[in-house]
Amino acid sequence: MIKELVGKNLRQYGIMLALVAIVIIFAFATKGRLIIPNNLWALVQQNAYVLILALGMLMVIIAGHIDLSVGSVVAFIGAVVGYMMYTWHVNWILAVAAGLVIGLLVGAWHGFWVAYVKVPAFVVTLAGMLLFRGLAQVVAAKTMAGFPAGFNAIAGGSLPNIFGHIPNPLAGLFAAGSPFGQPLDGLTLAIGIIGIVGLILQSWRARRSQISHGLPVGPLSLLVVRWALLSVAILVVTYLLSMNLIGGTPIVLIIVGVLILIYAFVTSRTVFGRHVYAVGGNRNGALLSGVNTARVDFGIFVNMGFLTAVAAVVTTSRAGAAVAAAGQNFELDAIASCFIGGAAVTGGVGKVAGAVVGALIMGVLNMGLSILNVDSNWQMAIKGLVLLFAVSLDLVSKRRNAVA
Amino acid sequence: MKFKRLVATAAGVALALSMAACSTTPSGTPTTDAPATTAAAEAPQAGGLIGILMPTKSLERWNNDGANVVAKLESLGYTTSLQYANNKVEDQISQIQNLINQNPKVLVIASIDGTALGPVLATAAAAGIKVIGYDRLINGTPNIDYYATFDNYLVGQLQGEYIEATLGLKDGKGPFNLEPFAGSPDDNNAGVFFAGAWDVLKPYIDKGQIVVPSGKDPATKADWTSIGIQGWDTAKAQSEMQNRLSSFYTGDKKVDIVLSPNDSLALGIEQALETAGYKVGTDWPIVTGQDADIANVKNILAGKQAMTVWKDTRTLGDQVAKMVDQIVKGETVDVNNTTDYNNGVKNVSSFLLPPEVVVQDTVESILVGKGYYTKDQIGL
Repeated sequence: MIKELVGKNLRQYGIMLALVAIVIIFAFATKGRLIIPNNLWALVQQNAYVLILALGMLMVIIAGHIDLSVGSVVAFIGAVVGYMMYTWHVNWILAVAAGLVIGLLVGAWHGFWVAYVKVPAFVVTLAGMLLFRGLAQVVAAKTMAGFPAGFNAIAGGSLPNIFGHIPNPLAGLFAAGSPFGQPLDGLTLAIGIIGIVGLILQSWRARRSQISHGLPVGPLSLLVVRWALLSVAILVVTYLLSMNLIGGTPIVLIIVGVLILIYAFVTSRTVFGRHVYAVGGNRNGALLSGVNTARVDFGIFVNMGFLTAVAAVVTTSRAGAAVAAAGQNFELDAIASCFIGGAAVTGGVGKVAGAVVGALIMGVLNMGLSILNVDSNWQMAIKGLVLLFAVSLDLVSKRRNAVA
Repeated sequence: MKFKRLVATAAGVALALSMAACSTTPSGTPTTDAPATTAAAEAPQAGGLIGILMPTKSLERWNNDGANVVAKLESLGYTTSLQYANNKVEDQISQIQNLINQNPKVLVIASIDGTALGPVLATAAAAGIKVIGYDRLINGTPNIDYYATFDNYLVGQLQGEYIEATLGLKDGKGPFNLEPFAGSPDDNNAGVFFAGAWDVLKPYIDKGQIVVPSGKDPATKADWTSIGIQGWDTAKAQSEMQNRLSSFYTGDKKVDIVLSPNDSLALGIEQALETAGYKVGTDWPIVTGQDADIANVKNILAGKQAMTVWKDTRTLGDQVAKMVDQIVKGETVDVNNTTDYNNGVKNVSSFLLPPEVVVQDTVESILVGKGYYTKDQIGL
């Protein structure tokens, strides 16, 4: 019983442990530089696009499809949003709204071919990859920069320090001026604590509802251990982040955080989410059980289009420029994150938390290797090997569990 | 078989002649005009197909370059076929093959990978087609006839010398904090740019007048790829600069100089500096650049970029068009360097154009004055 529980949980948390291990290894190898608060801030900003795209890509992959077009669509929508602000001087909020609508339309375009004409998603989105890269180059023939400050703040700005700063209780441990001895931003701490409380309340409510429906639940002690570990992790990250000297909580972290919560809810608690798993797990079975598989496929791609537009806005805002070459290989980053996070190539399997952790692993690797001054050629090679080993480890451990 | 080829050649010549006739009078220099007017029947005429191959449409500069070369050649009476290869070597090889089959007189190639064109250029040579390397040298083949480029070593040297002069390094001032960047590891020119700058700056590093807090200073200029930014990617440069600023500039330490080889990298670096809280007028470092992209020219005016090395790509287009014309007419082709550009097989006869430094005070006189940008375009 205990062995079974440990085995099951190890599998579930193995990838999270891998992330923690990678962080610790790089923190030591870079002499603590990896976890300097400003680097944490930058880590969020640098990887926001992967996290956003991975959420959409996860649902695409769970349903047994793939989307190769997202990098090109990011460039295209970024170019259009940039063009509106640069050439037509459209208000940036309107330009962003228009970008999101275009994202929905692009998603509907892909969804139409996949769901109703039944062209394989691989082919449809391969076509989309060429189509939208071409259009991006038409719209952004010249790099456009010099956008309103409000727009650039989406990815480059921080929330205001409305709660002021609190003296750092550990400041005495570090030399004066050390990045680890800075005062703490009150708002960042508050957000972290709200996060912890929310997480505990949510899992407690889920447990109670399972009990009330007479479903079996694990021992309470295990839940408490889980709470303790997650709380410590969130606290450490919040504490470090609150010391950053760039401003405060990155605005883009709030955007990403809200999206993660929404998609965790959508995939696990809604009818649509269950239909996505059903379609991916057994398409014919789902069809026979009365699931409108075409509508589910269509919805998945419309959703992917929307998230791609969000990523496009974030990417364009971060660069402060609309570049035709933007978004190269973004689709591969998103796909790799999902697979590292335990999604199955055959569909039907995958979790939001896994995809998020997968994206963070790639992000930490990128940053750590860069601080260590590893040649960019070798960085690529190393990331390729990590992808392969992470997925094979996951598969091997699943197979062993299936046998046991 | 022989007869067929004869007919085809005759048809081609007729076509070329009719095209030359249709076009406006060739506007060449007096020397090129002279043989055409005196001995129209014997001397080869301007006209015929010229193939122009460019790497990608996704970077602003190649769009300008392509359009410019086409305009110049067409005004001289040539027919052109301009092709972009989406930064894929294989696509460019196919495009060259397809063009060879259309019997062009000259191929103008801005290669994606300068070493991957050997076999296809052998076919071109067998068909008697002359090849001009445009801006990027084509390596490892005897079948490149001429090379036209800006003096890339000088580009880096100008960047280095700008830093040297602005900071008073010759007068022994220092120490200053430098963060060096280099271009895409797969681009031949990126190493040349870096070498030019490093030959100026490295002595000051050795003397301790310049320090590199990140430790990312290549031991020799040949090790430049270790700090190369793949694909000249703005976003990658931004991430790299962010990482260096967060990791190595803690406390009161500030970066004084960023050696950026070109404008697309500089754009990302400037964005990272802004996020990290650097302010123009107080602690903003010297950032170098190259290409005079519109976004960067605006940044120069705003004080976020100190300088850019401008290569008037129109003069490169003019020069290449002139060389094409000279090749077709069988005249001596203008070159000014036959010793420095060895492609591994031979010294390629080259024409090097001088680049020019643009700073805040000279943006208007140089870029607007020479009609490269309008005042409106750069927000003056």
